[in-house]
Order: sequence, then structure tokens, then C-alpha cells
Amino acid sequence: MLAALHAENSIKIYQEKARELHLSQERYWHLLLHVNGSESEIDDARFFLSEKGKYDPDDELNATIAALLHEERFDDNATACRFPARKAWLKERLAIETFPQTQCTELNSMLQKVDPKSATFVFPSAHINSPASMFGHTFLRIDSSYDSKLLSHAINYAAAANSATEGGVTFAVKGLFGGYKGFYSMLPYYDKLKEYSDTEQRDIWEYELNLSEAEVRRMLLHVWELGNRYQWYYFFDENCSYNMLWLIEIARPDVHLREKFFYHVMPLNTVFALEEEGLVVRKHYRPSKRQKLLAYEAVLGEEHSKAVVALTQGEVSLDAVLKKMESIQTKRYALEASSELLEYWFIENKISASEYKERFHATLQQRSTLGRGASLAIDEPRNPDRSHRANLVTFQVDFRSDRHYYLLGFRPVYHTLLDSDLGLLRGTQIEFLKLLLRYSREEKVNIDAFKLLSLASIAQRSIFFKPFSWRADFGWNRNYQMEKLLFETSLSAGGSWGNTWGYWYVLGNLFAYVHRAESMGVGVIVGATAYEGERFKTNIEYTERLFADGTTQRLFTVSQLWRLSTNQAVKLQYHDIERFSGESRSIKVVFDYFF
Amino acid sequence: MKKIIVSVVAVLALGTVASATINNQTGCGLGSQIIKDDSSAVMLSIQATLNGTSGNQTFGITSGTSGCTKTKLVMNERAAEFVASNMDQLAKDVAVGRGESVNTLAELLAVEDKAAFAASLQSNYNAIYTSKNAKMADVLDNIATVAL
Repeated sequence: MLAALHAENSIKIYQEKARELHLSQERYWHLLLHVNGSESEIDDARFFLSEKGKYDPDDELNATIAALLHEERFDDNATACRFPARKAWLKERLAIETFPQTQCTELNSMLQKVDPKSATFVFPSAHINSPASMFGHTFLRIDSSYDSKLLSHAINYAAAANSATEGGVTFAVKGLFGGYKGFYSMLPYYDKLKEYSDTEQRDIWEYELNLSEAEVRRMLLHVWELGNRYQWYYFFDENCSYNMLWLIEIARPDVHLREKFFYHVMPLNTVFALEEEGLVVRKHYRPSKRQKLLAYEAVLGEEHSKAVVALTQGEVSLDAVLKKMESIQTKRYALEASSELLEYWFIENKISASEYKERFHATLQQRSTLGRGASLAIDEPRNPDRSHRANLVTFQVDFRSDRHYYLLGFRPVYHTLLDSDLGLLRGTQIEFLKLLLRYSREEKVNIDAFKLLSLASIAQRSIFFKPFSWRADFGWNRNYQMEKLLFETSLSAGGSWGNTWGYWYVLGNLFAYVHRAESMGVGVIVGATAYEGERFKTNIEYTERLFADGTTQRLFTVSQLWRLSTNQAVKLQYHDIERFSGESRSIKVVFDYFF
Repeated sequence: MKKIIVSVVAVLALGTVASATINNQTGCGLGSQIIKDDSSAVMLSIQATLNGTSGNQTFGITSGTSGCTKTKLVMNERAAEFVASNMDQLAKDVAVGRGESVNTLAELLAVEDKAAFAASLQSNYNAIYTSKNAKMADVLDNIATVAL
């Protein structure tokens, strides 16, 4: 009875002290509550101790002080155990000496297991056949006292979407408009890696942060507060990457990361932000299974790689394959490659579980008799933090035989086959809303082109991988047989082959203009891209089209890129478009500025 | 308005997500912890980056050895969890005589000389992964017998 009265008293004292210090207006309290503007971004009522908590940080502060000093539960459901970060902060700011005794068994068990020492930011890069995955993803890794990073724990934020029951457009729409609940989750890094480098064939880039042990512990306590508490997930702004930024600001409140972003938060841009704030100390590359297999293909050569495929398919016996290889190192590489390929095919459902186990075990058994041998050397690609930014402003001059145009363009997202792909995946393209205006003395101002959406995945085929290449374009352009601005839909599919120097491709094309019934047809596109070091790239593309009315059209483009810096480039281009009135040739000088 | 236009265009671009499910084979053997990709080639090509995870969004700090037979010799929960979740990666490392997974296991078992540990495991592959149906408990116990 007396204790309760005493608690009541001390609650009032501390609430008054908090009022005097204007504690509820402090940055750290707003960070703990995820307050953006005037209200919290968290939507789950269980995150708040007060009914008005989401909308009133002051009320929430008073409710927190009261709940911490007058506990009703003393186990893991105690306020102190559910909100350890809030407790730690209030204890320090209000100099609270005694709290009711609680037993936070689960919390302590988690802290012991995770053993937070330092933190790393992780960026899985693009998937070969998925241009949309160029945007990437980011999550945090909490490193422990163990040397092995596999034993670290990953903290991830994602939408809880049931992709098994909801596909396609529903999924995309709900993701964009907050139709899903977003949750933070934690899992062992070795499990998180399986999602990306194995299944999705995505390279992993790790950026070690210079957060101190105390800062990382603070972050982890706050993550605990967020466990199983949802917010509505918004693909553009309140997405996976954005929510990682909150955690870093909680660790180090001096750092302001979220305010660097306006409407959309692109995962790779959060990496740039961390580097700008001087938070990154070391970088590390983890190749995907795809990269490993491509490296094996390169070292084995064509003949042996084909033998590995036959072996993995169970068409040839182990003995038969190994007999044809003279050097023991070749045998080692072949068996290693076969085991990787077996896993890959099993993941892709190309072989059954029993076939997989049988061959996997037999292959490894054989490999274990051949000693250690040499490690496969895998070339490290350029770090994505060297790639160009997403927004583009472009200045162009288009020289024709009879006149010339000055063009000004803008595009918010993101990258084309003609841009420098340093740090990005080759042959991948994604563009949204590119507007190009032009001016000439004769025509004054006009729209040169307005592209709604353009996607491309020009994926090179090899012995181990046989992806198909494709392209899709939707927008207004002047590529028709007349120089009239028309809306075109174009879909292409085909194949591509290449090596380190470059690639070439052949695509079959279906297109349609919104003009007349006859302004649709089929075409063939042949193209090649050659890389001259890091600074230069040449793109050539030739298209032959057949319209429904029997007319044909040739289009030819050459584009020479000169990468001036990460975010600036110059292109010299030659375009030749066949029109009813004859050939329309132009030479363009382009200056691109990314930001 | 801009948000709506941009979002509509984005819907077209993002399309479908691949559904990846954990292959639920019991017994903690080879292939049981490999995440399968059920999406077709077409779906994969317009895969979204929403990073939707179906179901399990908890604070899973344990990958769990639930459903696995317990080890008889090795009393190390964390090592058991690790092996259960990495049967295939570990098998590859043991066969090759080096690797991040075998080094991780060495660390969990407090082994000082990681290189010697890996070499010893490699020359005893058959005693560790006794058959294609090898399970976590046997593998870990066999490793203890052979190398510790």
C-alpha cells in the first residue's frame, strides 16, 4: 500500500522533471518513437503505452514513465523488458535510481546470443533477369565476438506479404500504397545469406560501420522494442532501406540520414548517405552462386564445362568425366563446379531431391579424395557505391542536315544500356518517366520524347546458364516512319552472348504505334556493346522492321560513351532512321548529369 | 497526383514477386535447408524488390534444430543449429578441405588449429557424411569422434 503510494509520488516527480526538461520534444525521444513530423510512423497499438501515443509524444512519455515505475508484470511482459531502450534513456536523462525488480529472461537471452559488438550494412545487388531488383535491398548485420560473420545476426525490414496467395499486380499495388504490414525481423546471417546469394544469385556487398559497441547495443535494444510491431509498408518511402536509417540514427543521434531523402528512398542511395556521413570503415564482397559458377566456367574452359553439365545431369559417370581430365586441379574444379551446379538446379526445381542428394554426396565423396588444391579466384566487380546516381538531367544538341535542335531532359529513375554500368549489373536497364524537350529556331519548343517505362535484361548465355534476354518499352517517341510524336509499345525477347570485353544480342521484336491499324509489326534487333576500360563504352544497334502494311523500316544507332566521372558523362551518337520521306540522319552530342 | 502516376508506372514495372519457400523435408539431411525458388522463368524476369517474406517474420535468433534428432556426443546447441542449417555448405567445405562454414564450425567447437581441423575432416569425409541420407546429429557426432 505504502509502496504503491510511493510509486505514485515518484512517478509525478519524474513526470514533472521531464516536463521541465522538455524531454518529450528531444530528438532522441522522437527517434525512439519513430516520430516524423508530429506523429509516429509506427501503426501497431502495442508499440504505445498510451492510447494517444501515436499522435502525442508527450503523452507517451508520461505513460512510459508511469509504466516503468509502477510495473504490473515482472517477467518478460514488464515494461522494462518490452522497452529497454526507453528505460535506458529515461534512466540517464532523469537520473532515476531505482526501478521495480524485473526478470527479462528473453531479452537477456537474446543479448547474450547476439552479443552485439559492431554493425555492418549489407546491400544485395541486382538479380540478372530482374531489372527492378537493381534498386537492391539493404539490411543491417550485428556482429559479435566471433570471428565468423556467419554467426552474426541480420536485422531486416520487410513487408509481410503472402506471395503464395497474392501474386502480380495485387502484390505490387498493395506494396506501393501501404497495403501490407511491415515488420522488423532478426535471423542468423547464415540463413539470411541463403535468400540472396544462393536462390536469387545476387552478389552481396558489406559495409562495416564505425559504430561503437555501446551504440550498437543501443540500436539492438531498440530493435527489441520494435519486434513484431508493424507499420504500413510503402515501397517508395517507408521501405526496407528507410527503416534501416532509423536504427542508425538511434545508434548515433548526431547523424541525420533520413532528411537527405525526399520522396523516394533507393537502397543504394542509403549506402551513399552512410559514406557521406563517414560511417563506413571497410567494404567486403561476397560473390553469389552465379558468380562462383561463372568463375568455374572460365577456369575450366568450354570442353570441361560441358563435361560438368553432362556429369551434373547424370548423363555421364564420375569416372568417365574425370578420366578425360589430365590435371588433378582440373578434376578438383570440375567436381566443385558440379556440386554448385547441383545445388543451383535443385533450387530451380530442375532435379528432384533424391537425385540431388545422390549426386551431391557422390560428387563430394570423390572430391574429398583429391586433397585441398587451389582456391578458385573470383574477380571482384566494381563496388556499387561507384555507380551513378538515379536522377538524370541531360543536355543534348542534335545536328541534322537542315537544322539542329537543343534538348533538355529529365529522368528520375534510373539507368540505360547506354549509360556507364560501372558498379551495376551489365545489360540491365530501367527507366521511368524520361521527358526530353527540344528547341529549334523553326519549331520552337516541343516534346522530343516522353518515355513512361523502359525495362531491359540483356543476360549473357553461357554453358552453365541459359537465361533469355528481353526488353519492354512504353512511351512517346519519334521513331516512326514519319517524324511525328507517337505512342509506341515494344516488346522484345531473344538471346545474348559475351565475355569480359562486351556482349552482343539478337532479339525478336513486336511493336505497335497508336496511329493507324497498319502501324504495328515485327522486327529483328541486333546489337553489340564493347567496353574500352572503365571510361569508354560503344553501343551499336541495328533494327529491321516489317509493318502490317508491308513497308519496312531500318533503324541504326551508334553511341560512344565517355564517362567523365561517377555522375557525369558525355555521349557522341549517330542515329539513322528510315522515314517515308527518306533517311533521317543525325549526330548528337549528349551531356548527362546524375544526382 | 504525381505519386499516383509514378505508382501506376511502378506497378507495371514491378509485377510479380518470386515465391521462395523453405523445402520442408524433415530429418535435417542434405537439401533440407535449401530455399527453393518456385517462380517460373517469366515470373523471375519481372521480379519485384518488395522483399516480401511469406510468413515467418519473427525474431528468429535460432534457426532451430526442431525436428532434428539430438546429438549424442556433442553438447553444443549453437553448433547443432549451425550444422542443421548448413548441411550442404558444410559438406562442400569438408570435401574441399577449407571454407567459411568449416571455419565457423571450428570456432563454435573452440578448435584452435582450423587448418588442421579442416584437413582432418576432409580425409575423413566418408566417416562424417556416411551416406547421402546423413543427418545433422550423426554428422556433428562423427566430426567430434574424428577430429576432436
